[in-house]
Formats: sequence, structure tokens, C-alpha cells
Amino acid sequence: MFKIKETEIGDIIVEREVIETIAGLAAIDCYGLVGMVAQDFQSGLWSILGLDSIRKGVTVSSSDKGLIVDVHVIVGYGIKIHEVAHNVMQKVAYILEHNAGIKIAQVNVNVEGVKVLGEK
Amino acid sequence: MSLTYMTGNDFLRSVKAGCIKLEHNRDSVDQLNVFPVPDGDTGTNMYLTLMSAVREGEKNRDKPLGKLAKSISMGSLMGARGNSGVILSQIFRGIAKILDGKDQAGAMDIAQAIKTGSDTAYEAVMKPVEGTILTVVREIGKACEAEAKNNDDIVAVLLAGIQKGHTTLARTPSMLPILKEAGVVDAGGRGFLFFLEGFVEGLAQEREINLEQYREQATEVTVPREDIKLDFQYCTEVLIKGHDLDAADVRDHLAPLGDSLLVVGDEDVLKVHVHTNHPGKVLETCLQWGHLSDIKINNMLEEVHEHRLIKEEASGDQKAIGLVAVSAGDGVGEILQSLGVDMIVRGGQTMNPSTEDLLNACNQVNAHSVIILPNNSNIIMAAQQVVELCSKKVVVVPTRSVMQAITALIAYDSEGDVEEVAQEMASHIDNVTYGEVTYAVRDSAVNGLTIKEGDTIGLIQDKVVLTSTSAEEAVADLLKEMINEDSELITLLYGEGVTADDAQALKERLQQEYPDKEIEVHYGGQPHYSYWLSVE
Repeated sequence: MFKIKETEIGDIIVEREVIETIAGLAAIDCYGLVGMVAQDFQSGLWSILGLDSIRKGVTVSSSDKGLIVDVHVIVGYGIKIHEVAHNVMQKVAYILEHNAGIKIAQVNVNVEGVKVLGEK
Repeated sequence: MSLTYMTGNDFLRSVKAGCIKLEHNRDSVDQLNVFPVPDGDTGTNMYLTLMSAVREGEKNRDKPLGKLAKSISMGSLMGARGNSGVILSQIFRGIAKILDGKDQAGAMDIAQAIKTGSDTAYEAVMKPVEGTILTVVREIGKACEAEAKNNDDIVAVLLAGIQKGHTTLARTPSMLPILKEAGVVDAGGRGFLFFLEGFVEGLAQEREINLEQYREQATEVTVPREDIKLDFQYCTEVLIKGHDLDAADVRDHLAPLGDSLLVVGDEDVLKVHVHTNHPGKVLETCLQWGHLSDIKINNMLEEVHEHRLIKEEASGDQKAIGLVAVSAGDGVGEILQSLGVDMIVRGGQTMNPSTEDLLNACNQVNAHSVIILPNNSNIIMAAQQVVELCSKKVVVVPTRSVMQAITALIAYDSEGDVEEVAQEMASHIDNVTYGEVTYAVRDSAVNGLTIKEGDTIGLIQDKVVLTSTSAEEAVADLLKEMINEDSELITLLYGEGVTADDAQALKERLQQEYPDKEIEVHYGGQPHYSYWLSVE
């Protein structure tokens, strides 16, 4: 739970899941990102997430300067990873700050895999 | 003339031209940028990506098409900036896939390349967002493929794609709500279209193909022109033939003279294309390097003008009623325009405009219906013919003089049925008595007056009534005839051969003679007539 605003008549609190979902959806809007993944705690295996469980590919922790968001992604092969990652950072930070009013300290993009595209 | 194949160097130059076109429109694309992050850099990102592509391509100049396409794809990948840049690099990747191993490509190859470019671009995204560059490219690819089935002309195929791209672009706000909110079309899509337009223009130029011919055949908006900034009016092209020509050197010399500069070629021949206000200087400058040939200078203002007219006709914010008036003289034109006239057709006593001139003016006015003020008895007939010819509703208010038109315009009401408005205007024109002062062009005898060539003559309602020694005397004499006890307002327009001081002196004199009348004097600038006057 994160308190995003305190007022005299009460506080606005956003659940961790909400932030994860917003960040996940923002990330997959980015071009070049072909999937998000989550690590299974027991087996340590990474699994590719479907659209409805996209938030599992995001982890959120707080710091003094704001939230630290980690996204775990797969990018397409043959795309400039650096640029895609940069786009993801920008987009996630923008959406969270703009739509949810949450202060973001960092967005870390973890590229967990690369997928060869097409070649049908 | 058609273009059925494209070589590697054609491709490179066209990509370059597309890059340049995008650069010129970079700001306008940047301003559209609201998605995915509204940071206003789409145009810049795409341009930088293309720059990198071109740079890489240049290294492989003169290599086979497949190889060049591959290097351009590599360049765009390495230099990809921003979302749109990454997408662009994927499009080039798809294009390179199809062109791989080819020395040259036909229309179908190009269509398939764009289609594959779009497919490749779609693969690299988890959740494709419609209403973006992806949608635009996909539709362009489809349209190109469809066209290429029946047409082996690459330019026609690309233009078909561009046209479809524009209709798709126009629909992007309805696909992506954020665009609609911001009231913009997709920036990436717009940027890609700029690129593709530049690509076609570059290709056509390189291969000496006149795009105009396509513009005529296809519908009006194949190659949009509205975004050209006409800081420079003349599109100037020339071939320089010489020895040891250095494109970079030529470019440096010509750059200060204009924009959209393209200098391409080899040591023996350079093709120069530049938009400039001084085509002469460009040619003169080019002359220092060698012989010139194939000189072409086009006035782009005319093109843009034509295009804008078509656009305006199609656009929604038409006026209900437009006004076209015939007049001579700059002052008169300004007066008429200040009273609401949309378009002035130059003409008058000695230079009657043709029916066609009037028809064109009616078509150009951005209005559903048009009222024509012929302002001369000789032009009323021509104006009435326009009624039959024009697709718009046209009504003629039979003014025989500008003075009548001024009175009629004061009664003009921009709202309401055009017939009624015109009738209302016409009902006022007989309230005014108008006179003219001019000089006789030959000896004659009219109404019992003997007139010698060069005499100053005065006319009331188009009839010669007196001769006089000077224009001012003629005005004074005419007014004696024209004024009765009901008259309130005297209006004078002074024209050829009359100075402002003369007119002012005349006004003061008349004011003394008719202290209870209101007198207005304006500059008309009409030729042949020293004064036009009216009493009402």
C-alpha cells in the first residue's frame, strides 16, 4: 500500500497491485517489448505472462525519493534493446506520475529474454 | 511515363529525400506527439533514425539494391531513437528482407517490401496499439500491394499507398482516444507519410519523372502540399556537367540561397534541386562548376494555391454566401474587400473579364453559393452566363458601377437565402446616382455635345452629359445635375491622374458648395477614370 496523497479530510492510498498493473500495462504499450515475465519463487523458473497477469512482471519497492519500479521484459530480436528499454522507462514513469500521481525514483528495465520474431 | 524498376542508388537517394522532407517537417510532427509519452520528439527521433540509416547507406553507395537496403536497415537499427524510430527500424528490416539479393526491384517488390515492413513491425510488439504509425504503415502496405497487382509503375504504387496513408492517418484520432482528446493525428504516422512523400518525390526527381502527371490522374490529395512552407517560392532544378565535381562543395555554396537543397550525382554530373527565391542566382552559382542543362524552374506558389483551393472546397467551414466583384484599381479592391467581398476579379471598362475568369473566381470562393457584382454594364451578361456554368448556386446583382456595388454591399447580409439576399442588395442599387469623370479617346458627338479627343468628359449613369476643362470642374458640374433635395451623401473615389491633394482640395470646395451634405473621399486607384462619384 502506498499513500500518494494526504489531505486534512483523509488520505489517498493505492494498493501495490494497482501500481504493478498500471506499470505493466504502460510497459507493454512500448514498441519492441514482446512479453513480460515473472519468476516463480519456488522453482526459480521464469514464465511468460499473459495479458491478464501482466502485473506479475512488475515489482515495486519504495525509497526516500519515491517508488522504485522494476519491470521484467522480453524484447524482440533485432531491435535496439537500449532504445526499447529507454522507451519503457520513460513510458512507465510518465504514466505512473501523470495518471496516478505517484512519484517515481527509478524504473529499472530487466531484459530477461529475447525472442526471435516471425520466421514463419 | 512510368517507372518500373528501382536500383540500389535510386533507393538510397529516395530514402535520403524522405529524410530531408521529414527534417523540414520535423517541428510539425513533434507538435503532434502525445503518445506514448507526450514529450514532443517523434519527428526528431524519426529524423535522427533516418539520418543514421542514410549514413550507413552512403557507405554502400553503388552496391546492389539488396545490400544497400540491408545497410540502411542496419543504420536505422543502430540509430533508432524513440518508439517511432524503433518501429521505423523494424519497417526497414522487413523491407530489406524482401529486397535481399536483388539488384533492382519492381513495383510488386516494393509493395511487398512495405507490406513485409509492416508485418515485421507488428511482430515486435506485445500489444499493438492501433491508431499509430503501425496502423498507417499497415494500410499503406495493403494499398501498395493492391495497386501493384494491376500496375507496374512504382511511383503510382507508392502514391496509392500515400493516399491510403492519409485517409488512415485522418482516422487515427478515432482509433486512439488520446489523440482525439489532444485534437491531433498520430505523429509517427504523419512522420512516416512525410518520409514516404519525400521518398517518392526524390525517386521521381532522380528519374526525371514529373509527379504532376500523377496528381492530375489521381484524386486531388495524392501528394499533399499544405505543409510546404513557402519561404522559398521557386523549385529550381539543374544538371551541372563538368569535371571533378564535388557535391559537398556545391551544396555549401547553394545552401544559403534556399532550402530543400539536394545535390546528387558523380564527378561528371551533378543534379541540383533547391527551393529558392532567386533561381537566377542559383543558376549563376552553378555556372562556375560547368555546363548547365535540363534547367527547370517551377513556381510552387501556384501549385500550393491550386491545391489549397481544392482543399478549401472540400473543407467543412464554407461560408453560406461568397461575394465576387469585378473591379479595377487597388483602392477600389480594398474598399470592396472591407465591405465583405471574398474575391476581386480584375477588370472594368476597357478590360472586361471573361466568363471563365468569373467562373474560376466563383469556384475558388469557399462558399456554397456566390453573388457576383459585375460593376459594369458590359460584364453583366458574362456574369449571368456563370449562373448556368457554375456548380454552385450563383446569383448576379446587376451593378453597373462600383459605386452601386458599394451601396449594395452595405445592404449585404451574410445570413439567409442567397436569392433573398441578392434581391435585397439589388433593391438598393437604384437608390444611388453614379457619375464618372474620364477623358475622351476620340472625337465624337453625343447628346448634342461635341467632344474632342482628350477632352475631360463627365458621365451620369453611363451617359455622357458634359465636357469640362478639368476633372475637378467636371465633378462639380456633374454634382449639380445629380444632387436633389433628398440627397444626403456624396462619395468620391479618385483614380488615375489625381493626387490625394487634388482630391482633398476638391472635397473642401464641394463642402462649401454643399454644406448640408456629407462628403466622403477615398482612394480608388481605378485606371482611366479620374473620379467615380455617387450621390444617394
